[in-house]
Amino acid sequence: MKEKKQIDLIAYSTDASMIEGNAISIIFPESVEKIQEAVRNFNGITIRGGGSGLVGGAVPQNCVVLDMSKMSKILKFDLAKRDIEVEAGIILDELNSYLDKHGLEFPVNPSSHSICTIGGMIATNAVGSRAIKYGRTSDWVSRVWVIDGRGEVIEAGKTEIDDFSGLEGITGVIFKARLKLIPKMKRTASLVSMSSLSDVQGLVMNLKLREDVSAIEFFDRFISGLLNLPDSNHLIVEYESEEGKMKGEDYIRVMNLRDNIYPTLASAGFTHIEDPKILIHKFSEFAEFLQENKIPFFGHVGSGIIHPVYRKGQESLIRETIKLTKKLHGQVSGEHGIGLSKKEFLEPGDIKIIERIKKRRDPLNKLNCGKVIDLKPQKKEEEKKLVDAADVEVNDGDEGLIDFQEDTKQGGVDNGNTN
Amino acid sequence: MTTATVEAENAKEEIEEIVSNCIRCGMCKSLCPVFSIMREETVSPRGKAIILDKKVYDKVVYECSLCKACEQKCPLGLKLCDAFRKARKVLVEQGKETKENREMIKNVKEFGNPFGRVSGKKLDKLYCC
Ligand code: SF4
Ligand code: SF4
Repeated sequence: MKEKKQIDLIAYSTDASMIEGNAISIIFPESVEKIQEAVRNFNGITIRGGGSGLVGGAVPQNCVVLDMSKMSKILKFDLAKRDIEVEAGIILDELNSYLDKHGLEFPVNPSSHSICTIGGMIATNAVGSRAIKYGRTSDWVSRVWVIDGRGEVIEAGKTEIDDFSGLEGITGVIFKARLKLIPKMKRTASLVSMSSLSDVQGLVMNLKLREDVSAIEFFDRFISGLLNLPDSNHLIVEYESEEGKMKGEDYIRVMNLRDNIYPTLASAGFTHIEDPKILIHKFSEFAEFLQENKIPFFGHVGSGIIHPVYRKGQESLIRETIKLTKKLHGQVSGEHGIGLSKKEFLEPGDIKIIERIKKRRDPLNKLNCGKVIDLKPQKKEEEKKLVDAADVEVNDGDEGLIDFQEDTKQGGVDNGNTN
Repeated sequence: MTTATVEAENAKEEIEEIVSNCIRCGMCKSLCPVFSIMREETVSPRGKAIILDKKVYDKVVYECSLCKACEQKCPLGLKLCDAFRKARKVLVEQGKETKENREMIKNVKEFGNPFGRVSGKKLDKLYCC
C-alpha cells in the first residue's frame, strides 16, 4: 500500500488553483462516524470536494485530506415539496441529471458544474452565472448537517447556516444538506457582439429589468479572438423563454463556450484569475482600465462579477485592479472565496466576525487551518481550557495515523442513486 | 543505452510534453468512467496527469479504459490518453507493469486472446482488445 499512498499524496497536493501543498494522508469517509473519527484524531484537516476552487481552498498544508467525494447519495426526495436531501459529495451535474427525470433542477450554476460538489458549493456559497435571477447557493439551502471541530454533529437550520455557508470549511465539515428546487426551466440564449463598452453597460442595465433573463455573461475582444469569434466584445444572454436565438444543441454549445473561457485563457498563459464584484453603472470605467492595461476579462456581468486574468509576474497590475475595485466601492472577491490566496484582502471587520465563529465552532483550529484567516496562536493556558472544554485528544503528527482507505475500499462505493 | 531504455526515455519526454501543459482545471474528470465509480482524485485523469507531471510512473495508469473521454472534455485538448498509454510503455520497459497486463500479453501471444486457454484449443487467429 505504500506506493499507492505516495501517489495519492501527489494527486491530492493541489487543486484547480494550481497552488502546491503537501498532504500527509488521505481519508475517504463514507459515513458520519468516519468523519467524526478523523476530526477527533487529527489536528490539521483539509476538506475537499471536487477540487475545482481557484483560491487553494482544498490545498493541504501538511494536513490530512478528507475527500468527501464518496459521500454522494441522494437520501430523501420530496417531489411535491420540491426539496431533496443529499450527501455533500454529490456533484452538481449528477444531482441535476437525477432531478431532470422529475422535471426539477437546482438553479445555481457555477461554470464548474460538471465537477463541483454540493458540499463545496455550500462551503464557498457559490454564485455562478444565474445569480441575477437565483442568487447564491445559500438561498437554496434550508438545512445543513455538519461535523464541527469537536467532532460533534450539528444540524443547522436557517439561523445557524451562516456559521458554515461561505466559510470555506473552517468551521465544520458539511456532510449532508437539504436543498430547495425549482421546476426545470427551458432555456435559450443569444450571442450579442458589441464594440463599445458603454453600450455593454447600457444593454446589461436594460436586460436586468426583464424577468425572463437568467444570466448575462460578458467576454472581451481578446477572448473573442481566442474563441475564433469576430473581433468584438460579446455578451451571452440566457433567457428562460423562447427569446434567445440559440436553442437546443446550439444553446448547449454556447454555454459550454462560456464554461471553457478560463481554461482557454489559462492555456494561453493567463493563469491568475481574480473575481472582483462591481456595481453595473461602474462597469465601463472598470472595463476601460482593464482594456488599457491589456488585461483580458470576462464574467457574470449581470451580477457585477468580473474576472480579469493575468500572466505570471503581473502582480502590480493585480494590485492596481484591486485598488480600483475598492475606489469604485466594489468587493475584492465576488465568488471564488478567500482560501489561501486572498487572505490579505479581507477587511479587519470581517476577520473579527469570522474569528468569532471559528473559535465557537472549531476552537482547536483543526479544520482547513490556514485558510481564510490566520488565527493568532493560542496562549498555552487558553489552549488547555479549549481542549478541556472540547474534551478531545489532539494528534498532530504521524503517530497513530489511520489509513481509512482499506476500510472504505472494502465497503465498495454506493452512488447508485445519483446517476 | 539499450533500445528499450531509449524508447522508455523517449516516451517519458512525450508524456512530459503533454502533462506539463495541464492547468489542473479538472474538467476532464467529468466524463471519466473510472473516476465516476472510484471517486478518487488519484485515478481521475487530472490526478494521473499530476502524478506523471511529477515524473512518477505508477501502475495507476492502468486504472483507465483508454476511452479518451477526458480528451473530449479537456479545454486544452491535451492528449491525456496517449500520455497514459505511453506511461504503460515506460512501465513495461521497466518491468513494472501489472501482473494482469503481463499475463494478458502472454495469453495474446500464446493463445491469440487476452484470457488464456479458451475451450482447450489454440486459435488460428489473434484476437485482441
Ligand atoms: S481515457 Fe482513462 S482517464 Fe481518460 S476518461 Fe477514459 S478512463 Fe478516464
Ligand atoms: S481538463 Fe485538461 S487541463 Fe484540465 S485538468 Fe484535465 S488534463 Fe488538465
